[in-house]
Amino acid sequence: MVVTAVVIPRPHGKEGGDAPKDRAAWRATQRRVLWWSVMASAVLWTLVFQASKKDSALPEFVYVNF
Amino acid sequence: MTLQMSPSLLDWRFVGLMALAALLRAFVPKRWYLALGLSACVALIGVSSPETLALIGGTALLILYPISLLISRAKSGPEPARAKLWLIVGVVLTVGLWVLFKANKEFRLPFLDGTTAGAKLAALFGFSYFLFKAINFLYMHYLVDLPRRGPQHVLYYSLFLPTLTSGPIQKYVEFSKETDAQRAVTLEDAAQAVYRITKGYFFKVCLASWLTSLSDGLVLASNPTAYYSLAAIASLYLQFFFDFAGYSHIAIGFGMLLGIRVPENFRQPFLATTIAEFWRNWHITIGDWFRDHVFVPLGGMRLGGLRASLLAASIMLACGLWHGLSLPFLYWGIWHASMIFLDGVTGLKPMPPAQRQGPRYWSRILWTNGRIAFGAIFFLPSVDTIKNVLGGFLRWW
Repeated sequence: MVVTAVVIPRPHGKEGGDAPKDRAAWRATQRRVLWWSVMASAVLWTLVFQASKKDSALPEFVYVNF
Repeated sequence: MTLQMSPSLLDWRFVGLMALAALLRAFVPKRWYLALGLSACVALIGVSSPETLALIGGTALLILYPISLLISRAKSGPEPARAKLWLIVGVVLTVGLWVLFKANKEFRLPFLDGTTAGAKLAALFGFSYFLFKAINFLYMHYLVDLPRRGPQHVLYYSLFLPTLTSGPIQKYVEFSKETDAQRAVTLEDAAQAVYRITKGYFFKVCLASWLTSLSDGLVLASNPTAYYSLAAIASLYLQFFFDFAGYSHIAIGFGMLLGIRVPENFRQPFLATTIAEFWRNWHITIGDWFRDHVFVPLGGMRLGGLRASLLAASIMLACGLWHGLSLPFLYWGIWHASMIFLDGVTGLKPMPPAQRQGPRYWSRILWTNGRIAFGAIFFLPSVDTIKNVLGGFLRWW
């Protein structure tokens, strides 16, 4: 959560940053950024580290050309 | 010169160039959006698969566009019945090309075997998806009075990159609204697009690939037990979901970057309580297409219980053969046709939201998903592999 808190500062000021709906929206954005970071890291890890292994190629994509 | 690159959202060079085209939109006036988008599609498909550009682009310009003009002219002329005739001509021509494409892929057609034309036809991308868009384009011109547009519109609709190879299948009217809107991509759109694209690649690169390795091992196990076969079916089912849903996320994300909102293709299909409900939530755009272009025009629910169920079953059979003209796809079609017919004749209806809880709800979900998952084995590449997995159910210990 530290990373997301840095990326998306919590709203303050006249707009009523402490209103429940603002807090809910802020938390939802935090969750999205966190999920995005997890997914992006997993994709990068799969592509870079798995592909760099000598004895293991990336599993072939399931791709059917319809 | 042809680059060794395929027009697929899984080819990183292709994806990089497409992202570059999306980025270029930020530097041109809005009235150039269509020209820029179309030029990017033509250029990228042209260098990666010229045969795809030639056949899909050629069909759009030489068949779809002139026939759409003839349909519109006939509707406003002294003989409106001719519009139907032109619609039939257009549909027969495009379906004929598709049959040639599919038959050339599955069988060795004597007049194409070993020829350059045969090889080029086999190397085509996305022609099956184009077929749906082509028929929708003609049918919409027949059904409603659309404003007359230049050929560049049908060309962009046919060659739109994000949905070229695996959908979602966007309707022509919706696509036109999107291009007319000349939507600039905001920072919020871009963030949303990046999220969807990342999610899509996570589904494909991480989950679908891992499930592919898992199911490959399970389906090829010698003398599998029933538990192996059950695990194989479950992993195949999930693999198909993550593969296809992942592709749809990527397509929707890239569509956003190009200023086009692409329709959603999945909506919690695992919570369906009948087979028909499942197909309304899995590959939604193909289900909608069959409903609008086949089911409703042929009578739909007006036919009454048994006949409507038979029609729905026939559509599932056709859908199986659309995947490929081979025995496993025929079996897949028969399996789903039987299941949708069974639900129809037993009067199984989707459960209303208020009743969606408790053991009865979960047993219905299990019954629906179990039957759908079983159908996944017919996507295995050979009849022998299918027999191997089915054989496992004879060995419970």
